[in-house]
Amino acid sequence: MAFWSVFGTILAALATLAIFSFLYKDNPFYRSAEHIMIGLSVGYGLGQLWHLGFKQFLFDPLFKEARYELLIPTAIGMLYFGFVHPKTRWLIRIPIAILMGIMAGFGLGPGMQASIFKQVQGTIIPLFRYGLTVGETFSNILLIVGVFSAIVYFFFSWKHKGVVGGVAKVGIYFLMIGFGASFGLTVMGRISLLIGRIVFLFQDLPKVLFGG
Amino acid sequence: MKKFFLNIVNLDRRWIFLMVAIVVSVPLFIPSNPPIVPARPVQELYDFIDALPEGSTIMVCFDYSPDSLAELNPMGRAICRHAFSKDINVIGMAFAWPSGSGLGQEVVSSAAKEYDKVQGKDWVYFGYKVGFAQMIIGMGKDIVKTVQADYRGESLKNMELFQEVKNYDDVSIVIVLAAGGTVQTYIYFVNTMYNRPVSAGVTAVMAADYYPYLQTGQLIGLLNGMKGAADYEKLINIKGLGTRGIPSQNWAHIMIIILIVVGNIAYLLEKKQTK
Repeated sequence: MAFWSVFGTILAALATLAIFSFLYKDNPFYRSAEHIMIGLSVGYGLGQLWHLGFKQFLFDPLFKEARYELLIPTAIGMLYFGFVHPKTRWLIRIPIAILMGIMAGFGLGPGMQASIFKQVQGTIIPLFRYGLTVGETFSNILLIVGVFSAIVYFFFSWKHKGVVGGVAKVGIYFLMIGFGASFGLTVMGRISLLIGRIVFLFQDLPKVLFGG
Repeated sequence: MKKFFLNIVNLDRRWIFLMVAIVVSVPLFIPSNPPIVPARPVQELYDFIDALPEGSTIMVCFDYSPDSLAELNPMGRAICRHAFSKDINVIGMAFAWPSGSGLGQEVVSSAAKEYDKVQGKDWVYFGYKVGFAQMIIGMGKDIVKTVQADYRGESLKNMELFQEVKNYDDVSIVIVLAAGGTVQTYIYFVNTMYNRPVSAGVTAVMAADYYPYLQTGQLIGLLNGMKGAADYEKLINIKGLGTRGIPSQNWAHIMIIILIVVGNIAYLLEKKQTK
């Protein structure tokens, strides 16, 4: 295996151990690893932005293909630097307004369609129908009751008393079950990350160092 | 016994860290074969890809960084292996985060190497590109014009794959492997705007947020964390990191359930004593 590959793997192992050392207590190894990671991330990100953004979409087309029309969006983008002086700070509003307008225009329609209309449509389901199994019927009823009661819980124009209070309480139980599911999944996610690091330290690292 | 429960409230949390480390590490060294039953959403994605005709093209988006590698890399590897084994072309990309670019490239290229697939003909990797939403919207009209070059800087114009694949209409499904909220962007633009199938593999932390999209059919299949990866590995009959991690997952979950029960008993006893 190439020297740099082995060197990189050892460096990754040392960085992992340095970060894990925080679990015992804060120490210089942890802080060094943390600072190196932040510096590397920013440097790597800037490098990528330069090569894949500025160079590919601005510098090369501008100077190699003489596409001078690109100077117009560049000038608008440069207005972001207006923030450096109080007198020119208002200029930032122009690129922000353009970007917001474009993204809102693109996103509003599909966003409403995907997150509201389709989701509402998804709750319009038969509670009882010939051909549905007991499980499917139960699942559909559960879905309708869950959606309805959770929406009632977030309806604050009426006091949560009497029937409204009762339905809202059912809504809270559904929300709690949702939070419980999220917590369980979070545990699984965090354990997975630890498994990934332990597999790297105990199985992948020895393979790189000693072969096999 | 009562004293044990009352003392446990004051237990130094570092003991719990050590217990978790042991419980997660030991099963990795003990050979075991716990049953893995693929979840229905994983089976749905597998069936969809499995039914695609030879020569179809899928897109795999690697929208994560190294901190989520353990959950999402095995999914990507399993999906790419499945696609290449069925002679399905793969277009990979990592538009969300620059740090995900190298991860996706390694996953796609190593799977392609296993099946002797040719770069530019059977697979292409775009890497990271600036302008996430603009790229996704633009690819619906013209992939070559929008993305221009692959991760090596090679122009897409002359690549064999892009003589056939012009935009999303020529892509059978877009599979998003994400550790952030990017799945929604693909649902908005690829599924809703261009009416093309979208699927997702997400970290377990985010999975609960995406089940509603599964129920409405906006997502075809959903891979949920390491379990999702293990399920897919089971379906393609390959043992990867997902499968290797399941025994540790099982033991860690048992330990956490025990800790929750013990912690609650200790809390109730302490409450009773202070009364």
